[in-house]
Amino acid sequence: MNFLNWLVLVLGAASATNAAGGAIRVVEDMRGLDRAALAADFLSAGAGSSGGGSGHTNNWAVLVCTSRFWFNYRHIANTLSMYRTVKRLGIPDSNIILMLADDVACNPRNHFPATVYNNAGRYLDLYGSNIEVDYRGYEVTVENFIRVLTGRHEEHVPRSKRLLTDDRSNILIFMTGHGGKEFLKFQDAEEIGSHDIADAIAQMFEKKRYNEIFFMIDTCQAASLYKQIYSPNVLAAASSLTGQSSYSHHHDMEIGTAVIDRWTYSNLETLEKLERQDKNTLANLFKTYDSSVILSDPGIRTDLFPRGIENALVTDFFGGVQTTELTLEMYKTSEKQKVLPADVKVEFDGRLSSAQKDTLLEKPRYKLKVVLPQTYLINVPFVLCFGLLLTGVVVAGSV
Amino acid sequence: MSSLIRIQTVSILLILVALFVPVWWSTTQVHRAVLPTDQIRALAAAEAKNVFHTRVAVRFVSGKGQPKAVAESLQTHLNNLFGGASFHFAVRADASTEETQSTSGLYQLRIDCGVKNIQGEGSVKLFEDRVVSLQTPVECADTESIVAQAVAVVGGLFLDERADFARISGSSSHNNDDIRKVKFAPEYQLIFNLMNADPVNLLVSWDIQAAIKDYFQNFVDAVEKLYDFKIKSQTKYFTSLPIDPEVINAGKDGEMVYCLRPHHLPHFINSAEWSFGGSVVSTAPPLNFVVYVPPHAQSPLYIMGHDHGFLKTNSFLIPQWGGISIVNPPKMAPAVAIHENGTTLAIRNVPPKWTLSSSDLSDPMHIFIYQMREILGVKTVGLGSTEQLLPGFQFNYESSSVGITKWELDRLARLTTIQNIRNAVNTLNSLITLIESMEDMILGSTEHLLSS
Amino acid sequence: MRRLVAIIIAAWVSISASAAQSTQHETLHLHQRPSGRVTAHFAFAQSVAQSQAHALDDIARGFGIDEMALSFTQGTRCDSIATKVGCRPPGVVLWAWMRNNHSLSSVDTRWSALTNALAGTFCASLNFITPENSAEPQSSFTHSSVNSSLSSLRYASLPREITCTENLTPWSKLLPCSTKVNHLAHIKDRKMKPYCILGSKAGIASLFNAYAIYDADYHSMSVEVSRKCTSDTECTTEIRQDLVVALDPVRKGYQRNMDWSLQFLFGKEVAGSCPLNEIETNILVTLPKAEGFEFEGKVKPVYNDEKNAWVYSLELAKQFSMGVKYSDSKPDLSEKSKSTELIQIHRHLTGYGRERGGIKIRISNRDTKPRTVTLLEVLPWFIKLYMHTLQRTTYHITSQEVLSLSGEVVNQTLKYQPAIPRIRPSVIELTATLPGESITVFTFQFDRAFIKYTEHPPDANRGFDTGAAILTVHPASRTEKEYRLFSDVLLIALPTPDFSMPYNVITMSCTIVALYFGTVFNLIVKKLEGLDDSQLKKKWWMFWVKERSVLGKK
Repeated sequence: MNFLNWLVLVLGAASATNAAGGAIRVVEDMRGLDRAALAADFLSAGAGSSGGGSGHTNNWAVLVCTSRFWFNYRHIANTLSMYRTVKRLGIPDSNIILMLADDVACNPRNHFPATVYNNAGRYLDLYGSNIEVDYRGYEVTVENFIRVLTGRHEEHVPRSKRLLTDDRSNILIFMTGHGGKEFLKFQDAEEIGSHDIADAIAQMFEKKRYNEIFFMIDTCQAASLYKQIYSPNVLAAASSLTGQSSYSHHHDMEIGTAVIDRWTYSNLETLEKLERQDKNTLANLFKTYDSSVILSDPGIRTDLFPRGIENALVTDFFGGVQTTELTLEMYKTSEKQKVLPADVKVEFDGRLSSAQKDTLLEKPRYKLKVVLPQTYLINVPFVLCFGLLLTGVVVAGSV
Repeated sequence: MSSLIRIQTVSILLILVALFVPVWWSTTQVHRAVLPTDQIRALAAAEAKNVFHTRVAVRFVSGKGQPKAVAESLQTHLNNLFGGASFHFAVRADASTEETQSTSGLYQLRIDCGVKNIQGEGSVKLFEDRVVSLQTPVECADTESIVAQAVAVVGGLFLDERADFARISGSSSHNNDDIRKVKFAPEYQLIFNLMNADPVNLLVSWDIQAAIKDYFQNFVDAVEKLYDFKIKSQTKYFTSLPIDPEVINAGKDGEMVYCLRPHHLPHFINSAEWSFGGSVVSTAPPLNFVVYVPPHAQSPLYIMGHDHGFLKTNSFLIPQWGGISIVNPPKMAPAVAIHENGTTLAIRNVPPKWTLSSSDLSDPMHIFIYQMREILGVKTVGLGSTEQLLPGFQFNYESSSVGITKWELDRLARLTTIQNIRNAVNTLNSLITLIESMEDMILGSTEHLLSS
Repeated sequence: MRRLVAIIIAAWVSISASAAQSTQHETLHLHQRPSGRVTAHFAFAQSVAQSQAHALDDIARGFGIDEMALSFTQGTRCDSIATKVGCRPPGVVLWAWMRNNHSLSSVDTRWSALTNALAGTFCASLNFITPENSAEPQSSFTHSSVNSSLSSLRYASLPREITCTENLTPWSKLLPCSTKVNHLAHIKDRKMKPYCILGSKAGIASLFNAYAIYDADYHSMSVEVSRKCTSDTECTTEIRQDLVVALDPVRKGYQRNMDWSLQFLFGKEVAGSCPLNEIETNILVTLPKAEGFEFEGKVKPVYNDEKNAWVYSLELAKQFSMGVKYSDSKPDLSEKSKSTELIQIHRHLTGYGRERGGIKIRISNRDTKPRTVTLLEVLPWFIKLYMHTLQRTTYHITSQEVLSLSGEVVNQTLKYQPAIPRIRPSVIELTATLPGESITVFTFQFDRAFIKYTEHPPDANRGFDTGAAILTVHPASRTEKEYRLFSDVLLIALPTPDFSMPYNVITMSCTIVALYFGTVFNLIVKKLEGLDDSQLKKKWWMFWVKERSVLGKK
């Protein structure tokens, strides 16, 4: 079935030499169309419970540094700055998955052992004394990252390495490293594509593993990485648009490398001023971005976030929510006393109305039908064109 | 080149292309195993047909009256009322005058007819072990009105359960109960923590084994069919609060009293320092109950309620996590330890010790049982709708000696079943949707999946 | 008077009543060598009762562990005289005795589950311990208290694993008297440098300072767990935690001399003794000189002859600090500072190139009497060793003359498990008797495997580390105990492909261009002509060609 589709597409497209590029372009347009239609469906489905409050009961953070080697000290410092911020604003260690691809604090090249600074003035040691790194060194791989997001781990993986979210969890995902157009490099050995990230988030949505996601990414051409996300309730912010690079902020001469990146530094300048009960919104945070200082244009994607950045508080993603209830009574098991139950009143109408009966049957909520191109090493239209070309040449040559 | 040879060459090439391109195509396709998609989609529709078969035994206490007629009529009316959705009743008459053992799914209705109370109306009492008794002033021969009242009682008991089922199957709007309730898991780790904030000035220990045996073990045994609890205890020292309590000059002699207001409580748990991870070996979710003993410098410590009075229980609950109870220590004098060191006696300072015995822990344990019920989602069974229908009747409820009555246990089991079925159907359906949407994803062998 | 009696009675009562709980005990031993280096050995011992929740007790109970030892080490300059637990090799070393029939799962499954659980507890990548690099030594860990017919031993090491604050944090959270000072909430002035971050509120663990520990020449953090069962249901878990830190006051200070104090080394003072200890907490100080120094601090120590050390006792809720000042504080960097252990082991690589190599292990026995030792070598599968090249030579220690071995000295046994690629490592256990005052050298050759490009780590050009060889020295007499020495860790470079981006881009692009462009160009430019069969010289395999006459007629 798909084969014929492709055939039709290809033969209907431009000339043979242009066929390969043309086909992909056509496919992308198709995908864009489908997505827009789908997104509209999603937004109506997801908008029900929000409207101001986000409705989350717990917060999680997944902080990933994907770069290895000493000269990428600043990426570790970026991640640890975010780690410190979310811890300060209330997310406990058990709700943070921290992935650091290399050890710089206890690296023999570090002039200040067991410390990581994000500032040449060395005001604050980000490593501190109370740090839990869940995935470190060679464990930071694309596979482990996707396993963390989707929750599909191998048998014996301990709880501290799992993202145990439910459908009332707000998740902050922060990634930093070296990237390019629609890919992010993991440890100089492999890369994750924007489609992989989008599919992982789609799987999270299917399994009801999040309420809202704030996806932050600080790499070169960062905006291309969130371009393919198609699940609802995802807000994304990136350090630079497609085609732009992200830059580091300043160097520390004694450490010998740059210690922080510009976009993260700009975020931290605002976040460091906040306290736990802060009412600042994400719109305020985004307004503080100054392209002339960051030296790139930060990208923000809000089309999948119906609540709106003016209603979303910074602490919705960076802070921890802990609701408590006062316990007003105790249950005395030793005395058989009169216990008055809570008020339970039901409309006594005799029969279940037909409307109520319908709600018992749950319709499948939506249908995802995104057609992905088959990306093989040799493209199908390419092969076909090559075959046709070959045949044509032979025929022509024999004439 | 002769035309024959040309035709031969070209045709051979075309044949090769026509043969091998499909072979290559089929061998490089993504392997996807076959899944029972239709069956899974059909599960959602089948869900509405989940019905609990409930048996009710009707017994007349005094021996007068017609239990058989009452039972038949009651069954007809109840099944009409529920319309075959969620509950199906089988009512029989119990002619014996002895009590029968209570088993799950079998409820007893004891009717005491011709009895008037002071106000001239009847009364309904809900006993602990699946028995509800109806004392009515109506004469025993008047079967219709007895049946009407019995329908009100039994129907009212199960009607709000049905409303709960409808709420679960409906849209996913969450109220406070759902936020507080922990997700169902067949096994939990139950950890009792003693937080000793200042062991240098007061070393606290507790006889938690005895306290659990005296107060908590019965509860755990009562719910053992639903949940498996692994109970552990631990003591943590130097657990200082990350917040400073307010100082109030209360008390008779103007003594200093420390208090925590409701907005302090979300920051009570010092998540940076206190690790409540639970066991690393098992993946059962942990539930923590904490007895916090404040340091002398911050005692007595009370929790202030919303009405600005101190809470009698001095406890609070963290939804989906556990509960915390503050126990204030007595003032104790410093102690010394003496041991023989050859011929000399060496004296050194030791902290005074305070042991919480089982009876000291009775109040915190009762509070924990209450909090445990809240966290597990145990709802007190009430007769709200019956009260509307039988005005003037008195309603009494018996509480349990183990912490949960059999009515509550049954209701919890049914609700959990419905919820789990709903979750399972949702998960399977969403997985199928996901798999259908990602046509590139390899689906390996599903033999082990299909067999389960 | 009566009040004093009342207090005494109360104290007696309180001592006797506290017997039923878990017990805990800690000691700090500071040992300075003539070169100036101070080795601080923090020893913590606790026993956990049946029903208490402790992460290590859970692990021991859940996986059926009889004994387990785990150590995280960095640094090679370990002074074996100064530490009672012995020197450990860099990286992680883990061994465990596990019951054979426990909870219906096999020992190997539980070993994987154990490494994963420990990885989660200590924030380390212990999950890289798999059957691919685990061994089951037969004669190296001959423990007397574990019944080897009921339990199996598993051993593995990860030499590349680093140790940093994220490992120290959970390790110190396992100590009962430990909790962190929460500076995150209290920092209002961001310019203030937080100085005392890690540590506990009381006890010797209040000295923990990550900045000092990870600046040390050698640091090793270990956990030993053993379960003692009086009956089937009554089991207690004994946990021993040791932290050994070798700090160098000569390097640290500006004066470059041997004077030191706790404040100078750790940046902190001890915050009194831990209230949970039933017996006194002692700090033992061993100095290289017998005189010519004085102790600083309010409290003066007492010299203890048996332990050969000066002893301080900690008091409850009283800050404690001490220091030593020498009259002649120049460090002695001569031979006397070097280790004078009786038995030593050294291991190094021989050969050159990336195709093959050799390993040479040198064991010296300075003792006058012969000693029996067992050498355990666990080599990864990509070191394809040739057992027929294993040779032993024994020299006299001073005269270098080759000793010929005879009699009971020749008595050596070799147990060898060959490697299966990607499944298990090679394990060699060689039990030999070393003659007195001798040096024994073992050598063998190996080939380096050419592994798949996906199996290289991201920093491929570093090479692969092999774990240390373990030399178990068996007791010579009844009074001695068996002890273990660890050799050096080797860094082996395998033939590594070029992973650099320019190289790979150029090769792939050139290949594709050559294949595609070349073919198409040839097709376009060249004219294809069908071959006339008459011009063809028929070969034996050309069955489709019919014989034709030269004139082209049938």
